[in-house]
Amino acid sequence: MSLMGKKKVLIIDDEKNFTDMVKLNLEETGRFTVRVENKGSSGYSAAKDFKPDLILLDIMMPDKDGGNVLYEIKNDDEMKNIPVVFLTAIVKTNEDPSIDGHISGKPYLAKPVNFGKLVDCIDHNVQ
Amino acid sequence: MNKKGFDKKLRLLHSISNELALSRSVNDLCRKMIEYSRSRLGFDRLSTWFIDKDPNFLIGSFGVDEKGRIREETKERIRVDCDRTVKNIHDKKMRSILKHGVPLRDNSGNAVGRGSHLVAAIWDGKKVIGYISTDNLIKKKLFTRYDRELFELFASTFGHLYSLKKTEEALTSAFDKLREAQSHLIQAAKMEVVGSLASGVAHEVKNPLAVIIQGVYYLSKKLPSSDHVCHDVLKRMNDSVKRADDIIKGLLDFSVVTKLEFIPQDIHSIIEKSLRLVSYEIDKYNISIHRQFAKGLPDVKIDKNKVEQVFVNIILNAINGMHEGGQIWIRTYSNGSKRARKVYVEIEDSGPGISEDIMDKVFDPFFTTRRSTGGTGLGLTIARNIMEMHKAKIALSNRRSEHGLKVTLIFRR
Repeated sequence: MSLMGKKKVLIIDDEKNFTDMVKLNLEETGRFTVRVENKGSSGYSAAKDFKPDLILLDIMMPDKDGGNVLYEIKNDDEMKNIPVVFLTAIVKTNEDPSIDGHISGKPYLAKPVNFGKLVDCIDHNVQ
Repeated sequence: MNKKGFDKKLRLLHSISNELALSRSVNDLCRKMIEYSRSRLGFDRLSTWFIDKDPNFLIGSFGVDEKGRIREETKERIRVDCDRTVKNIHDKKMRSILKHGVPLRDNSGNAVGRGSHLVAAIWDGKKVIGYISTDNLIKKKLFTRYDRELFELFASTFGHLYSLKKTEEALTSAFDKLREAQSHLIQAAKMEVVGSLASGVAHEVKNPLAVIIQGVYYLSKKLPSSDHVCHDVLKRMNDSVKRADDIIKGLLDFSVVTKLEFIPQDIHSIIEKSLRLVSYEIDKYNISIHRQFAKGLPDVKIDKNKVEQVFVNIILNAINGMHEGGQIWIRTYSNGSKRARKVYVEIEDSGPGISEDIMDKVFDPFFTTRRSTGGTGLGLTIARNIMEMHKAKIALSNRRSEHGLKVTLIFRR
Protein backbone atom coordinates (compact mmCIF):
# COMPACT_ATOMS: atom_id res chain seq x y z
CA MET A 1 0.00 0.00 0.00
CA SER A 2 1.20 3.54 -0.72
CA LEU A 3 2.08 6.00 2.01
CA MET A 4 -1.16 7.92 1.45
CA GLY A 5 -3.12 4.73 2.39
CA LYS A 6 -4.17 4.18 -1.19
CA LYS A 7 -4.16 0.67 -2.61
CA LYS A 8 -1.75 0.13 -5.47
CA VAL A 9 -3.30 -1.62 -8.47
CA LEU A 10 -1.38 -2.77 -11.56
CA ILE A 11 -3.47 -3.43 -14.70
CA ILE A 12 -1.80 -5.65 -17.30
CA ASP A 13 -4.01 -5.63 -20.41
CA ASP A 14 -3.30 -4.93 -24.07
CA GLU A 15 -6.50 -2.86 -24.55
CA LYS A 16 -5.27 0.71 -23.94
CA ASN A 17 -8.73 2.30 -24.08
CA PHE A 18 -9.97 -0.11 -21.44
CA THR A 19 -6.98 0.27 -19.10
CA ASP A 20 -7.06 4.08 -19.38
CA MET A 21 -10.78 4.13 -18.47
CA VAL A 22 -10.33 1.78 -15.52
CA LYS A 23 -7.37 3.82 -14.24
CA LEU A 24 -9.44 7.00 -14.56
CA ASN A 25 -12.37 5.56 -12.62
CA LEU A 26 -10.30 3.88 -9.92
CA GLU A 27 -8.21 6.98 -9.25
CA GLU A 28 -11.32 9.18 -9.21
CA THR A 29 -12.44 7.29 -6.09
CA GLY A 30 -9.36 8.60 -4.28
CA ARG A 31 -8.65 5.13 -2.92
CA PHE A 32 -6.35 3.72 -5.55
CA THR A 33 -3.05 4.44 -7.27
CA VAL A 34 -3.07 2.72 -10.63
CA ARG A 35 -0.30 1.79 -13.05
CA VAL A 36 -1.09 0.49 -16.51
CA GLU A 37 0.99 -1.93 -18.61
CA ASN A 38 -0.31 -2.67 -22.12
CA LYS A 39 2.32 -5.25 -23.07
CA GLY A 40 2.09 -8.70 -21.61
CA SER A 41 5.83 -9.18 -22.10
CA SER A 42 6.49 -6.20 -19.80
CA GLY A 43 3.99 -7.29 -17.16
CA TYR A 44 6.51 -9.01 -14.91
CA SER A 45 8.96 -6.08 -14.92
CA ALA A 46 6.11 -3.60 -14.29
CA ALA A 47 5.01 -5.65 -11.27
CA LYS A 48 8.60 -5.90 -10.02
CA ASP A 49 9.03 -2.14 -10.26
CA PHE A 50 5.59 -1.03 -8.97
CA LYS A 51 5.12 -3.67 -6.23
CA PRO A 52 1.31 -3.49 -6.40
CA ASP A 53 -1.19 -4.63 -3.76
CA LEU A 54 -3.22 -6.35 -6.50
CA ILE A 55 -2.80 -7.18 -10.20
CA LEU A 56 -5.63 -7.16 -12.73
CA LEU A 57 -4.36 -9.47 -15.45
CA ASP A 58 -5.86 -9.95 -18.90
CA ILE A 59 -5.65 -13.50 -20.23
CA MET A 60 -5.61 -13.06 -24.00
CA MET A 61 -2.74 -10.76 -24.95
CA PRO A 62 -0.90 -10.94 -28.27
CA ASP A 63 2.75 -10.97 -27.12
CA LYS A 64 2.48 -12.97 -23.91
CA ASP A 65 -0.71 -14.34 -22.42
CA GLY A 66 -1.83 -13.85 -18.86
CA GLY A 67 -1.04 -17.42 -17.84
CA ASN A 68 2.65 -17.01 -18.67
CA VAL A 69 2.83 -13.62 -16.97
CA LEU A 70 1.28 -15.14 -13.85
CA TYR A 71 3.83 -17.95 -13.94
CA GLU A 72 6.70 -15.43 -13.92
CA ILE A 73 5.17 -13.44 -11.07
CA LYS A 74 4.45 -16.52 -8.94
CA ASN A 75 8.00 -17.77 -9.39
CA ASP A 76 9.37 -14.59 -7.84
CA ASP A 77 9.57 -14.87 -4.05
CA GLU A 78 9.03 -11.16 -3.63
CA MET A 79 5.83 -11.16 -5.65
CA LYS A 80 4.32 -14.61 -5.31
CA ASN A 81 1.84 -13.49 -2.64
CA ILE A 82 0.44 -10.55 -4.60
CA PRO A 83 -3.23 -11.33 -5.34
CA VAL A 84 -4.00 -11.63 -9.04
CA VAL A 85 -7.47 -11.28 -10.60
CA PHE A 86 -7.90 -12.44 -14.18
CA LEU A 87 -9.86 -10.43 -16.70
CA THR A 88 -11.47 -12.42 -19.48
CA ALA A 89 -13.80 -11.83 -22.40
CA ILE A 90 -14.48 -15.52 -23.18
CA VAL A 91 -17.07 -16.53 -20.67
CA LYS A 92 -20.24 -18.56 -21.20
CA THR A 93 -23.51 -18.07 -19.37
CA ASN A 94 -22.99 -20.71 -16.70
CA GLU A 95 -19.42 -19.54 -16.14
CA ASP A 96 -20.31 -15.89 -15.49
CA PRO A 97 -20.28 -15.65 -11.72
CA SER A 98 -22.92 -13.72 -9.85
CA ILE A 99 -20.53 -13.39 -6.94
CA ASP A 100 -17.09 -14.70 -7.71
CA GLY A 101 -15.55 -17.13 -10.10
CA HIS A 102 -12.20 -18.85 -10.29
CA ILE A 103 -9.92 -20.08 -13.08
CA SER A 104 -7.26 -22.51 -11.85
CA GLY A 105 -7.81 -21.27 -8.34
CA LYS A 106 -7.44 -17.61 -9.30
CA PRO A 107 -10.40 -15.24 -9.12
CA TYR A 108 -11.63 -13.74 -12.39
CA LEU A 109 -13.90 -11.02 -13.68
CA ALA A 110 -15.75 -11.25 -16.96
CA LYS A 111 -15.51 -8.34 -19.36
CA PRO A 112 -17.30 -6.01 -19.75
CA VAL A 113 -16.99 -5.62 -16.01
CA ASN A 114 -19.30 -3.46 -13.95
CA PHE A 115 -17.21 -0.87 -12.08
CA GLY A 116 -18.84 -1.49 -8.70
CA LYS A 117 -18.13 -5.20 -9.06
CA LEU A 118 -14.53 -4.39 -9.97
CA VAL A 119 -14.02 -2.28 -6.83
CA ASP A 120 -15.70 -4.95 -4.65
CA CYS A 121 -13.40 -7.56 -6.14
CA ILE A 122 -10.28 -5.47 -5.46
CA ASP A 123 -11.35 -4.78 -1.87
CA HIS A 124 -12.20 -8.43 -1.35
CA ASN A 125 -8.85 -9.73 -2.61
CA VAL A 126 -6.42 -7.17 -1.21
CA GLN A 127 -5.18 -8.34 2.16
CA MET B 1 -47.62 -83.29 -61.14
CA ASN B 2 -46.19 -84.77 -64.37
CA LYS B 3 -43.22 -83.72 -66.51
CA LYS B 4 -45.24 -81.26 -68.59
CA GLY B 5 -46.69 -79.65 -65.46
CA PHE B 6 -43.20 -79.54 -63.94
CA ASP B 7 -41.76 -77.65 -66.95
CA LYS B 8 -44.63 -75.18 -66.79
CA LYS B 9 -44.09 -74.66 -63.06
CA LEU B 10 -40.36 -74.16 -63.67
CA ARG B 11 -41.12 -71.22 -65.96
CA LEU B 12 -43.52 -69.89 -63.33
CA LEU B 13 -40.78 -70.23 -60.72
CA HIS B 14 -38.51 -68.07 -62.86
CA SER B 15 -41.08 -65.24 -63.06
CA ILE B 16 -41.91 -65.63 -59.34
CA SER B 17 -38.22 -65.28 -58.59
CA ASN B 18 -38.06 -62.00 -60.55
CA GLU B 19 -41.07 -60.65 -58.67
CA LEU B 20 -39.75 -61.73 -55.28
CA ALA B 21 -36.46 -59.93 -56.02
CA LEU B 22 -38.45 -56.66 -55.96
CA SER B 23 -39.65 -57.18 -52.37
CA ARG B 24 -39.30 -54.14 -50.14
CA SER B 25 -37.87 -56.00 -47.17
CA VAL B 26 -37.01 -59.44 -45.81
CA ASN B 27 -40.45 -59.74 -44.19
CA ASP B 28 -42.13 -58.69 -47.42
CA LEU B 29 -40.10 -61.33 -49.28
CA CYS B 30 -41.09 -64.09 -46.85
CA ARG B 31 -44.74 -63.17 -46.94
CA LYS B 32 -44.86 -62.97 -50.74
CA MET B 33 -43.03 -66.29 -51.02
CA ILE B 34 -45.86 -67.94 -49.12
CA GLU B 35 -48.54 -66.21 -51.19
CA TYR B 36 -46.96 -67.07 -54.54
CA SER B 37 -46.20 -70.65 -53.62
CA ARG B 38 -49.86 -71.12 -52.74
CA SER B 39 -51.48 -69.21 -55.57
CA ARG B 40 -49.08 -70.07 -58.39
CA LEU B 41 -47.10 -73.15 -57.52
CA GLY B 42 -49.90 -75.03 -55.81
CA PHE B 43 -48.25 -75.69 -52.41
CA ASP B 44 -51.06 -74.76 -50.12
CA ARG B 45 -50.05 -75.40 -46.49
CA LEU B 46 -46.58 -74.04 -45.75
CA SER B 47 -44.32 -73.29 -42.87
CA THR B 48 -40.95 -71.51 -43.00
CA TRP B 49 -38.28 -71.66 -40.31
CA PHE B 50 -34.78 -70.21 -40.11
CA ILE B 51 -31.91 -71.65 -38.10
CA ASP B 52 -31.28 -69.56 -34.99
CA LYS B 53 -27.86 -68.44 -33.69
CA ASP B 54 -28.19 -71.53 -31.50
CA PRO B 55 -28.36 -74.22 -34.21
CA ASN B 56 -30.61 -76.42 -32.05
CA PHE B 57 -33.42 -73.90 -32.49
CA LEU B 58 -35.46 -72.53 -35.36
CA ILE B 59 -37.09 -69.07 -35.65
CA GLY B 60 -40.46 -68.79 -37.36
CA SER B 61 -41.25 -66.66 -40.40
CA PHE B 62 -44.56 -66.83 -42.27
CA GLY B 63 -46.76 -69.85 -42.80
CA VAL B 64 -50.23 -71.13 -43.63
CA ASP B 65 -52.39 -72.77 -40.98
CA GLU B 66 -54.74 -75.73 -41.31
CA LYS B 67 -57.54 -73.41 -42.41
CA GLY B 68 -55.47 -71.94 -45.23
CA ARG B 69 -54.80 -68.58 -43.52
CA ILE B 70 -51.39 -66.89 -43.74
CA ARG B 71 -49.86 -66.50 -40.28
CA GLU B 72 -46.94 -64.44 -39.10
CA GLU B 73 -44.80 -66.67 -36.89
CA THR B 74 -41.73 -64.44 -36.54
CA LYS B 75 -41.94 -64.41 -32.73
CA GLU B 76 -41.99 -68.21 -32.50
CA ARG B 77 -38.95 -70.26 -31.63
CA ILE B 78 -38.90 -74.04 -31.55
CA ARG B 79 -36.37 -76.79 -31.04
CA VAL B 80 -35.17 -78.54 -34.20
CA ASP B 81 -36.11 -81.91 -32.81
CA CYS B 82 -39.76 -81.04 -32.21
CA ASP B 83 -40.52 -82.13 -35.78
CA ARG B 84 -39.09 -85.51 -36.66
CA THR B 85 -38.91 -84.84 -40.39
CA VAL B 86 -37.15 -81.52 -39.86
CA LYS B 87 -34.77 -83.18 -37.43
CA ASN B 88 -33.99 -85.88 -40.00
CA ILE B 89 -33.23 -83.44 -42.77
CA HIS B 90 -31.24 -81.31 -40.35
CA ASP B 91 -29.14 -84.21 -39.02
CA LYS B 92 -28.61 -85.93 -42.34
CA LYS B 93 -27.96 -82.66 -44.22
CA MET B 94 -30.33 -83.60 -47.03
CA ARG B 95 -31.85 -81.27 -49.58
CA SER B 96 -35.39 -82.56 -48.98
CA ILE B 97 -37.46 -85.36 -47.47
CA LEU B 98 -40.83 -86.56 -48.68
CA LYS B 99 -42.96 -88.88 -46.55
CA HIS B 100 -46.37 -90.28 -47.25
CA GLY B 101 -49.10 -91.41 -44.85
CA VAL B 102 -47.69 -89.52 -41.89
CA PRO B 103 -49.66 -87.55 -39.26
CA LEU B 104 -50.14 -83.95 -40.28
CA ARG B 105 -50.17 -81.42 -37.42
CA ASP B 106 -51.48 -77.92 -36.71
CA ASN B 107 -49.35 -75.13 -35.22
CA SER B 108 -49.94 -76.42 -31.74
CA GLY B 109 -48.59 -79.83 -32.71
CA ASN B 110 -52.00 -81.54 -32.64
CA ALA B 111 -52.62 -84.15 -35.32
CA VAL B 112 -55.26 -82.90 -37.75
CA GLY B 113 -55.06 -85.64 -40.40
CA ARG B 114 -52.72 -87.89 -42.33
CA GLY B 115 -51.05 -87.29 -45.67
CA SER B 116 -47.83 -86.36 -47.44
CA HIS B 117 -45.26 -84.17 -45.72
CA LEU B 118 -42.50 -82.52 -47.78
CA VAL B 119 -39.61 -80.59 -46.22
CA ALA B 120 -36.85 -78.84 -48.18
CA ALA B 121 -33.70 -77.15 -46.95
CA ILE B 122 -33.33 -73.44 -47.66
CA TRP B 123 -29.81 -72.83 -48.99
CA ASP B 124 -28.12 -69.47 -49.39
CA GLY B 125 -25.60 -70.88 -51.84
CA LYS B 126 -23.11 -71.98 -49.20
CA LYS B 127 -25.04 -73.43 -46.30
CA VAL B 128 -28.48 -74.34 -45.03
CA ILE B 129 -30.14 -71.40 -43.36
CA GLY B 130 -33.60 -72.87 -42.72
CA TYR B 131 -36.39 -75.18 -43.79
CA ILE B 132 -39.63 -74.88 -45.64
CA SER B 133 -42.28 -77.52 -45.30
CA THR B 134 -45.57 -78.28 -46.96
CA ASP B 135 -48.22 -80.95 -46.84
CA ASN B 136 -51.37 -81.95 -48.69
CA LEU B 137 -53.82 -81.56 -45.79
CA ILE B 138 -56.04 -79.05 -47.64
CA LYS B 139 -56.03 -80.21 -51.29
CA LYS B 140 -55.20 -83.86 -50.67
CA LYS B 141 -53.03 -83.87 -53.82
CA LEU B 142 -50.43 -86.63 -53.87
CA PHE B 143 -46.89 -85.28 -54.07
CA THR B 144 -44.74 -86.74 -56.86
CA ARG B 145 -40.99 -86.57 -57.42
CA TYR B 146 -41.65 -83.53 -59.62
CA ASP B 147 -43.35 -81.77 -56.72
CA ARG B 148 -40.36 -82.63 -54.58
CA GLU B 149 -37.87 -81.36 -57.15
CA LEU B 150 -39.88 -78.19 -57.72
CA PHE B 151 -40.10 -77.62 -53.99
CA GLU B 152 -36.34 -78.07 -53.63
CA LEU B 153 -35.69 -75.58 -56.41
CA PHE B 154 -38.17 -73.17 -54.89
CA ALA B 155 -36.53 -73.45 -51.47
CA SER B 156 -33.10 -72.89 -53.00
CA THR B 157 -34.30 -69.87 -55.02
CA PHE B 158 -35.93 -68.44 -51.95
CA GLY B 159 -32.75 -69.01 -49.94
CA HIS B 160 -30.63 -67.02 -52.40
CA LEU B 161 -33.16 -64.19 -52.52
CA TYR B 162 -33.45 -64.17 -48.72
CA SER B 163 -29.70 -63.94 -48.33
CA LEU B 164 -29.49 -61.12 -50.87
CA LYS B 165 -32.31 -59.18 -49.22
CA LYS B 166 -30.69 -59.54 -45.77
CA THR B 167 -27.40 -58.25 -47.15
CA GLU B 168 -29.20 -55.40 -48.88
CA GLU B 169 -30.95 -54.43 -45.63
CA ALA B 170 -27.67 -54.57 -43.71
CA LEU B 171 -25.98 -52.39 -46.33
CA THR B 172 -28.84 -49.88 -46.31
CA SER B 173 -28.72 -49.70 -42.52
CA ALA B 174 -24.92 -49.24 -42.57
CA PHE B 175 -25.25 -46.56 -45.24
CA ASP B 176 -27.92 -44.72 -43.24
CA LYS B 177 -25.72 -44.83 -40.13
CA LEU B 178 -22.75 -43.61 -42.13
CA ARG B 179 -24.78 -40.78 -43.59
CA GLU B 180 -26.02 -39.81 -40.15
CA ALA B 181 -22.45 -39.89 -38.80
CA GLN B 182 -21.29 -37.80 -41.74
CA SER B 183 -24.06 -35.31 -41.11
CA HIS B 184 -23.03 -35.05 -37.46
CA LEU B 185 -19.40 -34.57 -38.47
CA ILE B 186 -20.31 -31.82 -40.89
CA GLN B 187 -22.45 -30.19 -38.26
CA ALA B 188 -19.63 -30.48 -35.71
CA ALA B 189 -17.16 -29.02 -38.19
CA LYS B 190 -19.50 -26.12 -38.87
CA MET B 191 -19.99 -25.58 -35.17
CA GLU B 192 -16.23 -25.63 -34.68
CA VAL B 193 -15.87 -22.86 -37.22
CA VAL B 194 -18.70 -20.99 -35.53
CA GLY B 195 -16.98 -21.66 -32.21
CA SER B 196 -13.70 -20.16 -33.39
CA LEU B 197 -15.55 -17.22 -34.90
CA ALA B 198 -17.60 -16.74 -31.77
CA SER B 199 -14.48 -16.73 -29.55
CA GLY B 200 -12.78 -14.23 -31.81
CA VAL B 201 -15.89 -12.05 -32.07
CA ALA B 202 -16.41 -12.28 -28.30
CA HIS B 203 -12.91 -11.05 -27.61
CA GLU B 204 -13.02 -8.28 -30.21
CA VAL B 205 -16.47 -7.04 -29.20
CA LYS B 206 -16.30 -7.42 -25.43
CA ASN B 207 -13.22 -5.26 -25.09
CA PRO B 208 -14.84 -2.20 -26.71
CA LEU B 209 -17.95 -2.92 -24.63
CA ALA B 210 -15.75 -2.90 -21.54
CA VAL B 211 -14.44 0.54 -22.51
CA ILE B 212 -17.98 1.86 -22.98
CA ILE B 213 -19.08 0.54 -19.58
CA GLN B 214 -16.18 2.26 -17.85
CA GLY B 215 -16.81 5.46 -19.79
CA VAL B 216 -20.51 5.48 -18.96
CA TYR B 217 -19.66 5.03 -15.29
CA TYR B 218 -17.18 7.93 -15.40
CA LEU B 219 -19.63 10.27 -17.11
CA SER B 220 -22.41 9.31 -14.70
CA LYS B 221 -20.18 10.49 -11.84
CA LYS B 222 -19.27 13.71 -13.58
CA LEU B 223 -22.76 14.80 -14.59
CA PRO B 224 -24.80 16.87 -12.18
CA SER B 225 -27.47 14.70 -10.54
CA SER B 226 -30.09 17.21 -11.66
CA ASP B 227 -29.42 16.43 -15.31
CA HIS B 228 -32.00 13.67 -15.52
CA VAL B 229 -32.01 13.46 -19.30
CA CYS B 230 -28.27 12.79 -19.51
CA HIS B 231 -28.46 10.25 -16.70
CA ASP B 232 -31.27 8.51 -18.54
CA VAL B 233 -29.17 8.43 -21.70
CA LEU B 234 -26.28 6.89 -19.81
CA LYS B 235 -28.55 4.31 -18.25
CA ARG B 236 -29.82 3.29 -21.67
CA MET B 237 -26.24 3.01 -22.91
CA ASN B 238 -25.42 0.82 -19.93
CA ASP B 239 -28.42 -1.41 -20.56
CA SER B 240 -27.53 -1.73 -24.23
CA VAL B 241 -24.00 -2.81 -23.39
CA LYS B 242 -25.42 -5.40 -21.01
CA ARG B 243 -27.70 -6.67 -23.75
CA ALA B 244 -24.87 -6.89 -26.26
CA ASP B 245 -22.83 -8.75 -23.67
CA ASP B 246 -25.65 -11.25 -23.11
CA ILE B 247 -25.90 -11.88 -26.83
CA ILE B 248 -22.18 -12.53 -27.09
CA LYS B 249 -22.40 -14.92 -24.14
CA GLY B 250 -25.31 -16.63 -25.83
CA LEU B 251 -23.32 -16.99 -29.04
CA LEU B 252 -20.47 -18.52 -27.08
CA ASP B 253 -22.89 -20.93 -25.45
CA PHE B 254 -24.38 -21.77 -28.83
CA SER B 255 -21.04 -22.38 -30.46
CA VAL B 256 -19.40 -24.57 -27.87
CA VAL B 257 -21.81 -27.49 -28.23
CA THR B 258 -19.34 -29.60 -30.20
CA LYS B 259 -17.58 -32.09 -28.02
CA LEU B 260 -19.62 -33.76 -25.38
CA GLU B 261 -18.38 -36.12 -22.72
CA PHE B 262 -20.99 -38.74 -21.90
CA ILE B 263 -20.57 -40.05 -18.37
CA PRO B 264 -23.28 -41.64 -16.20
CA GLN B 265 -24.61 -38.86 -13.97
CA ASP B 266 -27.17 -38.43 -11.24
CA ILE B 267 -29.66 -35.97 -12.71
CA HIS B 268 -30.73 -34.76 -9.26
CA SER B 269 -27.25 -33.50 -8.41
CA ILE B 270 -27.11 -31.58 -11.70
CA ILE B 271 -30.50 -30.01 -10.98
CA GLU B 272 -29.32 -28.97 -7.51
CA LYS B 273 -26.11 -27.44 -8.94
CA SER B 274 -28.17 -25.54 -11.50
CA LEU B 275 -30.41 -24.18 -8.75
CA ARG B 276 -27.33 -23.01 -6.84
CA LEU B 277 -26.08 -21.20 -9.95
CA VAL B 278 -29.31 -19.20 -10.16
CA SER B 279 -29.76 -18.85 -6.40
CA TYR B 280 -29.21 -15.09 -6.62
CA GLU B 281 -32.18 -14.69 -8.96
CA ILE B 282 -34.31 -17.14 -6.93
CA ASP B 283 -33.69 -15.13 -3.76
CA LYS B 284 -34.03 -11.75 -5.49
CA TYR B 285 -37.50 -12.56 -6.83
CA ASN B 286 -38.59 -14.68 -3.89
CA ILE B 287 -39.28 -17.77 -6.03
CA SER B 288 -40.42 -20.99 -4.32
CA ILE B 289 -38.88 -24.19 -5.61
CA HIS B 290 -40.81 -27.46 -5.15
CA ARG B 291 -38.96 -30.73 -5.73
CA GLN B 292 -40.66 -34.04 -6.55
CA PHE B 293 -37.66 -36.26 -7.16
CA ALA B 294 -38.14 -39.96 -7.89
CA LYS B 295 -36.31 -42.34 -5.58
CA GLY B 296 -33.81 -44.65 -7.21
CA LEU B 297 -33.77 -42.69 -10.46
CA PRO B 298 -31.24 -44.38 -12.76
CA ASP B 299 -28.13 -42.49 -13.83
CA VAL B 300 -28.10 -41.02 -17.30
CA LYS B 301 -25.14 -40.82 -19.68
CA ILE B 302 -24.82 -37.09 -20.30
CA ASP B 303 -22.33 -34.24 -20.45
CA LYS B 304 -22.82 -32.73 -17.01
CA ASN B 305 -21.83 -29.15 -17.85
CA LYS B 306 -23.98 -28.95 -20.95
CA VAL B 307 -27.10 -30.37 -19.28
CA GLU B 308 -26.52 -28.00 -16.38
CA GLN B 309 -26.68 -25.21 -18.93
CA VAL B 310 -30.02 -26.54 -20.17
CA PHE B 311 -31.47 -26.49 -16.67
CA VAL B 312 -30.04 -23.02 -15.97
CA ASN B 313 -31.56 -21.62 -19.17
CA ILE B 314 -34.99 -23.12 -18.47
CA ILE B 315 -35.08 -22.07 -14.82
CA LEU B 316 -33.90 -18.54 -15.66
CA ASN B 317 -36.59 -18.29 -18.34
CA ALA B 318 -39.17 -19.36 -15.78
CA ILE B 319 -37.96 -16.82 -13.22
CA ASN B 320 -37.84 -14.00 -15.75
CA GLY B 321 -41.39 -14.77 -16.88
CA MET B 322 -42.89 -14.65 -13.41
CA HIS B 323 -43.77 -11.91 -10.99
CA GLU B 324 -42.35 -11.67 -7.52
CA GLY B 325 -43.19 -14.74 -5.46
CA GLY B 326 -43.64 -17.18 -8.33
CA GLN B 327 -43.33 -20.95 -8.07
CA ILE B 328 -41.33 -23.60 -9.87
CA TRP B 329 -41.96 -27.35 -9.64
CA ILE B 330 -39.24 -29.77 -10.67
CA ARG B 331 -40.34 -33.38 -11.10
CA THR B 332 -38.26 -36.41 -12.10
CA TYR B 333 -39.29 -39.97 -12.95
CA SER B 334 -38.43 -42.90 -15.19
CA ASN B 335 -40.39 -45.67 -16.90
CA GLY B 336 -40.53 -47.33 -13.54
CA SER B 337 -38.28 -50.34 -13.96
CA LYS B 338 -34.62 -50.71 -12.96
CA ARG B 339 -33.80 -51.15 -16.62
CA ALA B 340 -35.84 -48.09 -17.58
CA ARG B 341 -34.62 -46.67 -20.80
CA LYS B 342 -35.77 -43.09 -20.33
CA VAL B 343 -35.50 -40.54 -17.57
CA TYR B 344 -37.92 -37.61 -17.46
CA VAL B 345 -37.47 -34.15 -15.97
CA GLU B 346 -40.45 -31.80 -15.88
CA ILE B 347 -40.04 -28.14 -14.95
CA GLU B 348 -43.27 -26.22 -14.43
CA ASP B 349 -43.74 -22.60 -13.46
CA SER B 350 -46.60 -20.40 -12.35
CA GLY B 351 -45.90 -17.73 -14.95
CA PRO B 352 -48.13 -16.61 -17.80
CA GLY B 353 -47.22 -19.50 -20.13
CA ILE B 354 -46.70 -19.04 -23.87
CA SER B 355 -49.35 -18.05 -26.36
CA GLU B 356 -50.18 -20.97 -28.66
CA ASP B 357 -49.65 -18.88 -31.78
CA ILE B 358 -45.97 -18.42 -31.01
CA MET B 359 -45.31 -21.78 -29.38
CA ASP B 360 -43.63 -23.11 -32.52
CA LYS B 361 -41.22 -20.16 -32.65
CA VAL B 362 -39.76 -20.35 -29.16
CA PHE B 363 -36.81 -22.46 -30.24
CA ASP B 364 -35.89 -20.11 -33.10
CA PRO B 365 -32.58 -18.28 -32.53
CA PHE B 366 -33.05 -14.72 -31.26
CA PHE B 367 -36.82 -15.14 -30.86
CA THR B 368 -37.83 -13.58 -27.53
CA THR B 369 -40.88 -11.98 -25.93
CA ARG B 370 -38.63 -10.17 -23.45
CA ARG B 371 -36.45 -8.09 -25.72
CA SER B 372 -37.33 -4.93 -23.76
CA THR B 373 -36.09 -6.53 -20.52
CA GLY B 374 -32.89 -7.99 -21.92
CA GLY B 375 -33.96 -11.32 -23.40
CA THR B 376 -31.55 -12.55 -26.10
CA GLY B 377 -33.70 -15.30 -27.60
CA LEU B 378 -30.90 -17.87 -27.47
CA GLY B 379 -31.60 -19.74 -24.24
CA LEU B 380 -34.07 -22.29 -25.61
CA THR B 381 -32.18 -22.60 -28.91
CA ILE B 382 -29.08 -23.58 -26.97
CA ALA B 383 -31.08 -25.90 -24.73
CA ARG B 384 -32.55 -27.71 -27.73
CA ASN B 385 -29.14 -27.98 -29.41
CA ILE B 386 -27.68 -29.56 -26.32
CA MET B 387 -30.60 -31.98 -26.00
CA GLU B 388 -30.28 -32.97 -29.65
CA MET B 389 -26.58 -33.63 -29.20
CA HIS B 390 -27.59 -36.01 -26.43
CA LYS B 391 -30.22 -37.62 -28.68
CA ALA B 392 -32.67 -36.45 -26.04
CA LYS B 393 -35.89 -34.43 -26.35
CA ILE B 394 -37.27 -31.16 -25.06
CA ALA B 395 -40.93 -30.19 -25.32
CA LEU B 396 -42.93 -27.19 -24.16
CA SER B 397 -46.59 -27.02 -23.28
CA ASN B 398 -48.84 -24.78 -21.26
CA ARG B 399 -50.01 -26.20 -17.95
CA ARG B 400 -53.49 -27.65 -18.24
CA SER B 401 -55.47 -26.37 -15.32
CA GLU B 402 -53.39 -23.38 -14.19
CA HIS B 403 -51.36 -20.63 -15.82
CA GLY B 404 -47.77 -21.47 -16.49
CA LEU B 405 -45.40 -23.34 -18.71
CA LYS B 406 -44.25 -26.94 -18.52
CA VAL B 407 -40.93 -27.99 -20.02
CA THR B 408 -40.42 -31.73 -20.40
CA LEU B 409 -36.93 -33.13 -20.90
CA ILE B 410 -36.57 -36.79 -21.88
CA PHE B 411 -33.15 -38.40 -21.58
CA ARG B 412 -32.13 -41.80 -22.88
CA ARG B 413 -29.99 -43.89 -20.57
